[in-house]
Order: sequence, then C-alpha cells, then structure tokens
Amino acid sequence: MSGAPAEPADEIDPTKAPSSATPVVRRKRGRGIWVVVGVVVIVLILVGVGFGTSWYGLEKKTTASTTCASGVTIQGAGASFLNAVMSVWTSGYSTATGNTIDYTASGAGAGITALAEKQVDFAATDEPLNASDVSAMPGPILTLPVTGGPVAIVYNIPGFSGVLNLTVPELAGIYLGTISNWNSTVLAANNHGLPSDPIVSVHRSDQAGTTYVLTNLLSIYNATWEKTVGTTVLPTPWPTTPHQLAEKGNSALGKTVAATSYSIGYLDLPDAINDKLATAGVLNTAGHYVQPTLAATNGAIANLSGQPIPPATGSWANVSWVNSPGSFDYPLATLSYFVVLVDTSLGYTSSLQHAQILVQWLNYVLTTGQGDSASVDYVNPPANIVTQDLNALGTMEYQGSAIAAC
Amino acid sequence: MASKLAVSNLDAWYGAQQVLYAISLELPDRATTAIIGPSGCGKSTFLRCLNRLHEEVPGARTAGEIRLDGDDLARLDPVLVRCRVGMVFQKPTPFPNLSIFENVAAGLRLLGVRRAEELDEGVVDALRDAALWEEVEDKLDAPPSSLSGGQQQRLCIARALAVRPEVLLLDEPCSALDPIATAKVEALLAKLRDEYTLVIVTHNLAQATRVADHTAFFYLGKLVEFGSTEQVFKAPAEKLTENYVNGRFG
Amino acid sequence: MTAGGPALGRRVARLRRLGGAFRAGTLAAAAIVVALVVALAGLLLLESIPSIDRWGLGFFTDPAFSAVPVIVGTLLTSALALLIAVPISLGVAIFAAELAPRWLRTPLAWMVDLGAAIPSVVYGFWALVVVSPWMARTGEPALAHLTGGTGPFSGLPLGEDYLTASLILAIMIVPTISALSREALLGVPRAPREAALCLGGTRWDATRLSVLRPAAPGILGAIMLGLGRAIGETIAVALVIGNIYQLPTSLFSQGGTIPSILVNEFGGAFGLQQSELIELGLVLFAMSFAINLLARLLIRRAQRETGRGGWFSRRRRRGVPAPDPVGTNLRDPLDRPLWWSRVEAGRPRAVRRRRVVYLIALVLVVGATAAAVYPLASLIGTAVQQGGAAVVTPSFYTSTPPPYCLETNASTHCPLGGIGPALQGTLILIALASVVAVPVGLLTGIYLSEYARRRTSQLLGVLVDVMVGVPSLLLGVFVFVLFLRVDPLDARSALSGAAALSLLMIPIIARATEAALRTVSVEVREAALALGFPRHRVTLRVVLGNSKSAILTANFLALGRAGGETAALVFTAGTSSYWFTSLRSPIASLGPLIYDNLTIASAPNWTIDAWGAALVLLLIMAAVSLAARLVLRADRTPGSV
Repeated sequence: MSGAPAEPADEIDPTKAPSSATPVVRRKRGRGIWVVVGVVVIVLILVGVGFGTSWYGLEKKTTASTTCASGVTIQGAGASFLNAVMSVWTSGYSTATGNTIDYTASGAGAGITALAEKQVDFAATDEPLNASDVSAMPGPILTLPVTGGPVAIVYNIPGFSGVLNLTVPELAGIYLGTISNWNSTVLAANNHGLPSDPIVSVHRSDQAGTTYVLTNLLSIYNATWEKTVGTTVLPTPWPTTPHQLAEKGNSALGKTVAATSYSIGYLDLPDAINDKLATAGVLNTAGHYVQPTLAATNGAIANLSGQPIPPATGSWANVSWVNSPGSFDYPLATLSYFVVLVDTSLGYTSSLQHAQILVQWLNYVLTTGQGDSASVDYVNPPANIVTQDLNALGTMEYQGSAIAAC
Repeated sequence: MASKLAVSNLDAWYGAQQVLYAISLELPDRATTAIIGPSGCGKSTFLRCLNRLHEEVPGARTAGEIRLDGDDLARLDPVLVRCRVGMVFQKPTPFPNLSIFENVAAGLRLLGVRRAEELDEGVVDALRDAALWEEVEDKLDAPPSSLSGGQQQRLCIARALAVRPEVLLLDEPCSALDPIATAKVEALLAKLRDEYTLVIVTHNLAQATRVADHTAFFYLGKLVEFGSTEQVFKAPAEKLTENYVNGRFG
Repeated sequence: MTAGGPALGRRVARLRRLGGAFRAGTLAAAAIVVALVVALAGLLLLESIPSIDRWGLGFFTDPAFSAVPVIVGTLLTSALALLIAVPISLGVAIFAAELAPRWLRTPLAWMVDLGAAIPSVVYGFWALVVVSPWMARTGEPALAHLTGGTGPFSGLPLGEDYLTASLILAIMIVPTISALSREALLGVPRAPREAALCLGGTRWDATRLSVLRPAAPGILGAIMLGLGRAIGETIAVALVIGNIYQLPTSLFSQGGTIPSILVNEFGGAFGLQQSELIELGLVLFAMSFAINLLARLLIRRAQRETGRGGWFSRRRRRGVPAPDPVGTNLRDPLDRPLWWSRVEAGRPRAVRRRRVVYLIALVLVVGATAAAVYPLASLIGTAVQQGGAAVVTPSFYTSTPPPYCLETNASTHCPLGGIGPALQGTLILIALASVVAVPVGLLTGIYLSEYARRRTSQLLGVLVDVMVGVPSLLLGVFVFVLFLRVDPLDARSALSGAAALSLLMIPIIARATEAALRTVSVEVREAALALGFPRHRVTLRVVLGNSKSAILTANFLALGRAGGETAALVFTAGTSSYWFTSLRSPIASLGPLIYDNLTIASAPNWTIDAWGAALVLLLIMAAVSLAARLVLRADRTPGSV
C-alpha cells in the first residue's frame, strides 16, 4: 500500500473514495439490490425458523416433573424390519402425548452403532446384541422384545403360476450358489413348471437384522453356510454366486426383486405386500410348507417361548425364534428388540425430562402399542416377556438415580 | 484492361441497417485498387461482400450482382468463392497452434494437397512471394507467436497466397503495424502488383497513392468516385472527393 | 476542501489500519481453508490407523477383505464413464459454441447448465426406476445379442452392474464437461476463424483449425473435473451398481465403488470396521487429490505449450525444404508448379469434399447433442409425470410425511402427506451453512486474486481446487467423525449438517470469486489506485463492484448445490419426519428424504412424495440456473452467449 501523499489534495481527497462512481468503472444500477435481497431472505429464514422453536434444546432439567412434558422428541434408529408397526406406534403415541419419536430405519447394525456412539435414545434390532456390541456400549443395556414378525421369502418368476415351495436346505443352496437354475432337480421335487432360467439371489448390502434371521436359519441346516458365513448382519463375506444383487434397506430389496425377473429375496411382510410380491412357502420341521402369515408366526413365537429367556439386562445372543417345531409354524419368525441404556444419561439422553419421556414411550409401546401391532401384520411377544420388559423399565436410571414416573 | 470483379448495384444490410447503396464498380484484372473513405462508410463491408464473408454475420444480406470473371458470385459455392478470392485482415491472425509451415500449408491442405513435396514447394513459393522466406527458413516449425507483428502479417499474406487466389482482398493490412513493417508490406504489395488483382482498403491516403493503380472513394455507403489513382488524387471529378483527398475532412 | 496536516494524517493512518485489517481478514479466511484441507486429510489418516495397524499392506492384497474390488470398481466405472462422456461432451460443446444456429445456442446452454445442476440423488432415482429396468430388459440383452454375449458382454444382464453405473455416471458428467468445454471454446479469439473461412474452409474447418487447439487446455481441465466428479459420485452409483464386491469379469458384473460401500456400511460400522471404511475413504481422498493435482499440472503445461506452437502439431518434417534457385523443379509458363494446375482444376471437387466432411461433423455433433439431451428430457419427464400431481398440491409443502400405509386392497388410499419439514430443514441448513461459507469463501477468493503472491496463489489455488473435488461423502464423514470425537451428542444434528454443507460451499464460492475478480482488468485497478483509492477500497468498491453479478451468481449456484446435497448429509444431518425443533437434533432435508424413501420405504405414497421432492429440487435448480444465465448474460459482450 502506498504512503499518504504529503501535499494536500485540491479537488480530490486521496483518503476519501470519490463520492460518485469512479470515472473508469461504470457502476451497474440495481445490482446492489440483489445483495440486499439475499441478506434479507437469509435473515427472514433464520427468523422464521426461530419463531416458536427452541434453538438449543440444551436445558438440562434436573428437576423431575410430575406430569409428563410434551413437545419432546425422542431419537431412535435401527431395523427397517419393524418400520410399519413403528409408524403406527409413533403416530398413536404422538397423538396421545404430544411428544414425537424420530425413528430412522437405517438398519439394525446402524441402530446399534448409533446407540453406542450416543446418537439415539433407543435402538431397534432383530439381532440381539453380541458380546462385542455390548462392550461397545457406554454402559449396561436392556434388551426389550417389543414386537415380532415373519421374514418372508419373496420371488419373481415370470411364467410360474404356482406357489413356490422351498425347503431350508434349498434356500441355503440358492444363496450358496449350489442351486443355480430354477429348474434344478432339487427344486423340481416340490415345484412343477419352474423355468430353466438362472436364479438371481438378492440380499442386503447394509448391516441388516433381517439378514441375521435368515442366516440364523440357514446356519442350522447347512454346515457350509455355518462355516463360511454363519449367522450375521453383515453383507460380507457372502458366498459368490453367478448372479446376485445386494440392496440397502428392505424396501430397496423388495423393489429389486419386483423389477428383476427370476430373482429371490427376503424381507418383512408389510414390504412384501406393498411391493406386491409372491411369498414362498417354507418347509418347517413338521413337514409342512408354511406361508408367512400372522397365525403361523404367532404359533412359532408361542412354541419357542419355552426356551431359556434371559433377563432384560442379560445377554440375548443365544435366543432364537427360527425353526419352530410346531406343525403349522413359520420357520423364519423373529422378535424385534428395543435396546436402551440402563443409565440413559451415559448416552444421548441429555436431561431427566428427556429420560422420563423415553420411559413414557417405552411404556406406551409395551402397553397400548401391543394392541395395534396386528393391524399392520406384526405379532406380540409372549405375555411373560412383555411383563419382564415392563418391570425392566422400572430399573432405568438417570445419572444413577431412578427415573420418576410422570 | 479486363475487369476481374464486376460489381453491379450492390446493396448490403446488417439486419435492418443498410450500409451499402447501389455500388457499381469494375475492378480491373492484375491491378491494385485502393478503396478509401472516412471511417464507417462501408469500405470493409464492401470488401467482405467480394468474398461472401459478409453473409456469415447473422442477419446480414446483400442484393445486386457481383461477377468474378463473368461468374455470378451468388451462384457459386461460397467456400469455392473464398478459394478464389483471398483475404488478409487488419490484425495479423495466424493460427496460433500451428507452426509457421503449417499455417501456410493450411490452405493447401484444405484443397486436398497431401504429398509432402508438393506441400513443401507450395509453402516455399508462398513464403518467397510474401518476401518472408529468408526470415523464417530456419524456423518453419516455430509457432507464429515467435514472429514480430509485421512478420506475422506477411505470414498471413503468405498463407493467403499459398492457395493462389485470383483476387486478394486486404483490409487495412498495415494499420496495426509499425512504420518499418509497413514499409516491408508495401514493398511486398508492390511486388505482387502485376501478378495479382489486389483490392486494398486503406485509411492512409499516402499509402493509396503509393501502392494502388486505381482508387475508389466511398462515402456513407455510396461510391462517390472511381478512377486511376492519379486522376482521383490530382484531378478529382467530385467536390466531395477533392475535399477528402485534400484532408478537409477525415 | 479538506483539512490537511494532522487530521489528514490521522485519517490516512486509520485507513491504513482498516486496509491492514481487511487484508488480515482475507489471509485468515485463506488460512482457514488450508487448515480445513489439512484437517480433513489428517483426521482421515488418524482414524485409519487402527485399520492400517491391523491390515497393513494386506488391505490391498488380502482376498478376504473387499478393498481391492471397490478400488477397482471406482477406477473402472470412472474410466468407462469418461470414455462414454468425453466424445459426447465435446460434440455438445462444439455444437453449442460453434455450429448450432444462433437461436438454438441459448436454450442448449441452459439445458446443459441445468443438467450440471441436477442433484445426484435425483439422477439416482431416475436411474433406479427408469434406466436400470430398461437396461435389464432391453439395453443389455441387445448388447449381448450384438456381441454374441462374450468377453465384456458375457453374463446375465441384470440391469444393476458396471455398465449401468458407468452409463449413469457418464450422463451425470456430460453436462459438467460440456459446459466448461463450451466456455473454453467461446474464450478463444474469433479472428483466426474468419481467416480460416477466407482460405476456403467450411465452418467446421474454421472450428478445427482455429478454435479446437487453443481451447484444448480448457477442455482438458473440464474433462479432469468430470473425472473428479465421477470418482466421488455416491448416491446414483450405489443405487445401480449391485453392491457385490468382486472383481469384474464383464461389463454386466455387479460391483461396488468406494463411495457406494461407504454409504451402505458406514452407518452401522463401529470400531475396527469403521476404521477400515475410513481407510477406504482415505484412499478415495488420495485418488481425488491426485487427479486434481494432475489436472492442474496438465492444464498449466498445455497452456505453456499453446504459446509455443501447440501440443498437437509437432509434425516432424523431413528436413528443411531446399529452395530451388535454378529452377530444376518443373514449372509451367506462369511459373507455377506443374501439379498446381491439377489442384486448381480439382478445386470444386475439393470444396465438395470439405462440405461432406462438414456434414459428417455436423451429424456427429448433432447426434452427440441428442444423446446428451435425451436422458435429461427423460429424467425431467419422469419427474414431472410421477411428481407433478404432488407438486401442484399446496398441502404438499406444508404437511409432514405420511405414516406407513399398507395398500392391501384397491380401496385403501394412502394419504399423500408432504415434504414440509424437509423443505424447512433444507432452507435452515443452507442458511446456516451460508453464514459461514459465504464470508470465508468470498474473503479467500479475494485473497487469492488480490493479495497473494503468485507462488502462494498458485499453491493455495491447488488446495482450493482439491477441496472442490473432494467427494461430498467424505466431507460428511469428516464432519461426523470430528463431532464424534469432540462432541458426540451433536454428531447427528442440524449443526453437523450445516458444517458439512459449508465445507461443500466454501471452495466453490472461493474459486468462483477468484475467477470473477481476475476478469477485472489490470487497467481498472491501476486507474483506481492512481486516483488515490487505498488498496482495500480498490478491492471492495471497484473490483468487487465490477464482478458483483458473477459472484452473486456463483453464490446462488453454490446454495443450490448445497440444497440438493445428499451424501454429505446422510450421516451428519440425519433424517427426521418432524418440523425443526433444535439445532442439536437431526433435521429433515430434501436429499436424504428422497434417498430414504428409495431405500427404506416401500409404501407407494412415500415413493410419490419422493418424486414430488425430486421435482421440487429440479424446479429450484432450473430457476437458479436460468437466473444465473440471465444475470451473467447481462454482463457479457453482445454476440456471445
């Protein structure tokens, strides 16, 4: 920058900008208005947003309320398997209490990770947590079965007018690649009129609880599967078959099966219905090919409720609802679990009031919510488990002390 | 002297604006004609009509007849016309990404000349004719940006000459050059005088007297006077012409 | 009259301080940008350490791990996309800049701009619903039939594979490459063009001789930019590549790219898995860095070469043609070479041949333009058809998303609901992002153009370019992981999303500001300085004043880009079905809404909502591009568009 001129200026003051446009630069009229407009728009947006909302939901309310607050939002994430019933629950809950539940169906694995990374108040999963999941959590957890349903095997075989009947070993063979064409002799034993086209198997590309359920059953029946893949939520390692696709989310999987001829996949029942997909009958241990219906699923859950049920604080890793022994039970049934921290303050729940609402929500799901499940084709856990869950709610804490009910 | 280009009743428009009014002119063969006149009176437009470059501007059109050796220009393919009527512009415009050799050879290649010896010969001839050969013979692969302004202009002339046009149009070829370069270009024009039909638009009256056999005086889109240079400058028939060549307006 | 003496001195001193403060401000902004890039690379490296410890070089070689297939997938799809896109883009650019009739040039340019502005999630939507099924049913079987189903066309065509992914990538980068190539072509001086015409060339010859080569550096830069975009593309690829991580055996093989595996698995990854994915992100960052660097170097070299006679015309001549003083070369009586009369006689034929070449060139570029325009038309048509009804329903903009709905029979009609929260969320996010991005971007651009020394300016310019080229997914991952380590409760929140968007916008605004300021000529600055303007006033009033329109346009374009963004928001802003409550909670936004509805929601009304949102995004981007074009046109010299 140049130094100041020592001589006093005559007409032009070198320290003042000219009052009008500089002689060499033609100022364009009306352009300044754009900047002003832009600033005004931005300010309006910010103001309109601030109107009636709280900018920082940071108030740590340490005093308990005797009546439940309203206008609080609880964050949840997890399996897309229970999307439909979740939607029914959240709208019912929100109407009843004025609080909202923001649930992101990003997949069971993502939900568990979100809980571990303190992103959500609760997670939902079809896969009960294993030891490494539990150790990743900021504190001890509660596993609360809240609903259940069948994992439907869907298929798209143009020109096949019958109902596909599959045994579990056949299903494993399809996903392993050992059965590669629809007209394989193995499949022909239970089905007539299958075409000769190659099978396209579709699985999930994200960490999915639904995958867990399927692989759980496949591992029981197929030693190769057990050894190479096992029971998992993960998309890899996955056997290499000649023709396969993987999609993110139950819905994308359903859409893919609907769009791809000669394909087969697995997803929750409401998605199968919405995508208008045909469902296969799966052979159960009693020798019947069973369709994924509510009755068959209810039977499966009931007939397996005699297995050792851990407490809410215990490990549910060995609990399984597949391969039920009942005559008309659907072999691919599962329960879905909510997972929360015992001491919610160790995670995302950042105020006592928040914790109270979380408990209110869980309570709702386990009481009123149970009555709404069937309307969207979900089943309820056995009564004793629901009772156990409700009792477990009473053990939840905030910063070491019990949460007063509101 | 036979006329190379016969122009009858030429009108030209840019959109709705008329810039040339009923120009009738016969440009003699193998002679140099200068076109003089104040700025904006249609000299360049006239030139551009002679090789059908005028119609490349959107909205531009002409009316009237131009005959090249008796052929009606309007009936010929414009690309063919431009093979026969070359043009050099005010500012030197060599193709920046082609070497000096390739610049001159460009026109030959467009005509389908492929063989290396023929290209070589054509380029050397053109550079010789343009009095540039000695200056570039050892740097034929260099880019044209390595030449001075005057040399670049002579390169452009060489480029135009390489395709041996019947007529060469020059639009104020020296106005962007310094005096030394101007002198060289004028010497070149003098050299070409007897072999080519040249039409030069110039602002420089002295240059017109130096290089041209004939002179045409344009004023506001009309042809005021046409005759031998001597006659136009020493004994102009029109008062307007007399005023202009004596510098009373410019 | 002014007061001289001490008052003047004080005033001058104060202005000096102001000027110094302003300059310091611009330097600070530039420093922030540098710090961000360093932080990005540093954090990626830091977080990859557990994975590097565990796998070492086996990361690339161990068959049990999916690193190599996705790296190959990234490179292969981008290379294929470039192969398809470059000829088409060049054709479009040449047509739009040189050969198209005047009345067609503006609409064409606008269409190309729009194509470049369409968010990738909308491309992905269209790819999933229209292109992929068409490829599976028609396109790929036809290809297999034509080639006999061997080699790169072997295997079962499923529609979701390398070919479709590369095709979608190509469709996405054609507008980018064309728009920039067109700018490069238009920036070439027009005068040699007329000279070429006057030599007896057709319009195509004029283009070929005088425009294409000088524009080559700019075109090369455009291609590199397209490549950079292809490598980082996330959403569209993830939807149609099949997500099977294997080395490809044919174009019909399913595969994966680094961005696609990240978007699929990062949400659920924890501990070592998360670190492995971040190491993949680091590889991606290194790739995009290398490409941007290479692009810069190539362009600079090409610009140097252009001055020295051109890259492409270095024809080796067989010695200097010997002049023939004695005249042993045969000449005719007119002292012309004998072969000349043959050439002269063949002139009409030569001209006819040139016309045929012109026609062929015209057909090719028109074909390329049609190939570029058709997918855009299909996309817009699909969006209008599917989302049109929603877009004209006023409640669509004010309602919340509808609940899950089972259409068990024809009589159950699921309610349309709306995208109100997503609209609000998008506006909030881009407003917040602008508060940071616009000042920092502007000041950095000013620093680069006005204050930085040449060397610094070059280096910093490279850094800014690198940041522009960083895949937006990585920006999101960076912000998310940073928050996780520092403030985990806010990692998934509006704050986090706004931070990611501002990272996206800063380099765009900085670069555009610098470019706009550089077009202001030196004479203008010198004149202002000569009048006694202090330096910062020269910058603020004169230079900025001259380029106001360009800068404003760039800001709006950056805002539009941020508004349609998905990959950067997927992990940071999260998703929500409700109106905005708190900056520290997840927030709804348009891009993630569309993406979620594609993958998670299968209820038909959610799909219609997604189309409505896509159409809304399209309309907004169309308006912004059109406004940008009109504003800039008012500034340009007439005759160019």
